Amino acid sequence: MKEPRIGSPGELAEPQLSGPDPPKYILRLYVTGKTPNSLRAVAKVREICEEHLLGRYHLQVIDIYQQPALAEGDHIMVAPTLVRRAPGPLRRLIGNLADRERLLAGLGLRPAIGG
Amino acid sequence: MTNETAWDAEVEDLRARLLEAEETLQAIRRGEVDALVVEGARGEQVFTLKGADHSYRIFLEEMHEGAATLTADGVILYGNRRFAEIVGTPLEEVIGGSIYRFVREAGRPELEDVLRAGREGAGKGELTFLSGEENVPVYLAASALPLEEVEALCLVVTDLTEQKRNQQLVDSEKLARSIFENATEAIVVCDLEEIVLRASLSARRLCSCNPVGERFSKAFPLRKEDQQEPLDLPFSAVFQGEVIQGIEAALPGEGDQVCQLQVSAGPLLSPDDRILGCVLTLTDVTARRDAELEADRALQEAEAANQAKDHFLATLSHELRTPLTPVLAVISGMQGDPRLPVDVRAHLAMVRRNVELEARLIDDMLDLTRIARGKLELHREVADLRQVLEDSLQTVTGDLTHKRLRLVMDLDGGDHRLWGDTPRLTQVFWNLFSNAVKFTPEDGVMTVRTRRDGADLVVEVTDTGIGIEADALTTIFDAFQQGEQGITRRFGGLGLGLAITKAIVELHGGSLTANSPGRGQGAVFSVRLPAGNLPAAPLARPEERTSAETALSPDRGNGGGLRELRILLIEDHADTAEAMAELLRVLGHEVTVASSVAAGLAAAERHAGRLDLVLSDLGLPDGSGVDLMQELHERYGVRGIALSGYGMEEDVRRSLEAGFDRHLTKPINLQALEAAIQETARG
Repeated sequence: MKEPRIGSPGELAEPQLSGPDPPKYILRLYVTGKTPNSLRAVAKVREICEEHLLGRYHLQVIDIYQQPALAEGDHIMVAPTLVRRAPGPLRRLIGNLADRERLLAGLGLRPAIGG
Repeated sequence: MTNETAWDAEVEDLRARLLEAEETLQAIRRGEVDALVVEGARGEQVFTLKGADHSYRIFLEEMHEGAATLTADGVILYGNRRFAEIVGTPLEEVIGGSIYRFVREAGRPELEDVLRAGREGAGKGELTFLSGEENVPVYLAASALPLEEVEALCLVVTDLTEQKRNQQLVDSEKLARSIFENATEAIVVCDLEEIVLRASLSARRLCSCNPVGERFSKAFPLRKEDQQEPLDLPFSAVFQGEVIQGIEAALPGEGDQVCQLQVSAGPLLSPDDRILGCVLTLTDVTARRDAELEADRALQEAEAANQAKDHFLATLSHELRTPLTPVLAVISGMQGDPRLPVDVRAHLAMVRRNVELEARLIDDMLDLTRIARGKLELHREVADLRQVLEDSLQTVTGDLTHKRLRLVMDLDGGDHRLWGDTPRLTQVFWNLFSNAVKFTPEDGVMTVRTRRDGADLVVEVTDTGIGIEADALTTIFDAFQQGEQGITRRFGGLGLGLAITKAIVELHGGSLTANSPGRGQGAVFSVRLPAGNLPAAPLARPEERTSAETALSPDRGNGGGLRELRILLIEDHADTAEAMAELLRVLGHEVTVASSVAAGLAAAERHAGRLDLVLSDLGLPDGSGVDLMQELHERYGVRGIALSGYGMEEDVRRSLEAGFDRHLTKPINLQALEAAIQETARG
């Protein structure tokens, strides 16, 4: 693992995709401080990940208030937004991220129901 | 037709809505929207991008403490930058993770306790967080956060590292300041311009003004030790990093006071080893220096006193003996004068005996002081103990006969030679014999026995006299002791003899012991002398060095064939000169008298070449007889006999070295003088 670097703007540490055990799911959750939406989003996303993707995911949570520069990377428009960087094509999930079913579908862990 | 219009309308509607949405989104993106209206659980909620909660948010984000929102089981839902900093991890990796990542396994229970307490209301505690591999001391405050749906904890984390460091710093700062202020040494801190930055209490006392802010040399005008020149301290060397120690300096104070100081200085370093200035220490050594001076002075005084004492003793001896010389000389002369009636001559004999006794007492006293001061020296040679015993016996023969005492001599057949001081040994046995004779009543017996015991010679002197009480046996050798008081009154004397005798025996490496069966049963004195340490040298003739052997028979042996000599007598004591000259003339010599070195030289010159002998006193008013003799010997080749009242070993050695053939001490014994003259002239 690279050494943690604190506060370097515009850079997000890329988790290693090569190596003995690369995480399959790379997720970035963009939140707005400790608003209830944000707190819920963080809690729920982590819960799902621990439940269904244990040991196979890397989650980074970016508070767009404290680290605004990092928000440009994935071109989000509103927060909270969950971005799935891997596996597969980039997928942005906007809206109520506390919805388990919606999250699972958005992460591709359930067949998609609706949009 | 209606389907198409309805379809178009719907598409139009959709397109509008889409456009509106896009525009909304775009507007939001461009930051032109201040708030969003969001459908919340309790109806519409306004979600502001900037505004009312801005100040709270900023507060949280910018505050010095770390803040985090946690779930009940420690998942971090929110954290501020400071929190991420404290745990040494990027913020995006912190949020969403577990807080238990940041404590060691051993610290888990503590953290759990704090969080549990927080859930119940409020929890706090001091813990150690992990920042990478390093330990960070932190203070945690946890409290329950009422939020819909999520049971959350609010956690405030205070990094104690700096506080602890600061505390240490503060403590050490206090300590340093205390040390600095209260040091007995005067400590001064200067900058690179030699300006005083700080001065300890002691340093400020040394200074007549407030030294802070002044140039060091102005605040402390040091001078060199001798107080003459100003002293320049090597500041430049110190600013290069050198340490200087022990520079002696004087600092003038109030009035005439001067402080003696020892100055040391070293560079003052910053934490990153840059030289900021210097630290000087001024140690007051005035007291020590004064004590040293005092000690020197006391030593000098003691030495002077010592020398004065020695000088006094020598002078005392000389002065006490000087008058005895003419007295003895005259009496000797008178004793031999046939014109005097016999009973008068007998009286003269008595007078002479007592004067000689007086002389001996003076000698005893002088010897005793010499012994006490460890200044009695032996002049060792190969001595014949048998001869010594016979000579000593000679001196008591008269008394033996007078008291009708029987003498038994039982001398070992063997070698009686030993390495010793003949005159002193004679003194020893003369003392023992005369004691034996003195303390034995008429018709008694005195026995003298010698024997070999290993490497030693043992002499036992036994008498049948009054004996010695058991408890007096050890004290009789002490000075001024004579056994019982009654003895002093009956037998007279100062009681110095045995003390001196013992000291001389012991100086030879031997021992002297006394034994007695008791009162009235006689006594045995036993002298043991080492006799095994002889060098291969012939027997020496006993030289006359002290007046100890003065008690020879009063008869003037005037054997035939004695030469008549031209004698130059140099003596400044008028009576002595007169008496001696008279005596010598009676003996048939031609005598010229001079009373000073100058007169002596002059007289010698007048009689140049026709002088046979010089008789000179050593202590002359205008110089030393020693120098005179040297001069006369060099110029005229004449021999001499030295006369002196000192009898000190030093004088004897010097006189013999100077060219005197012999040295006699006053009071001069006529017989000895005569013998000496004949030998010198003959030789």
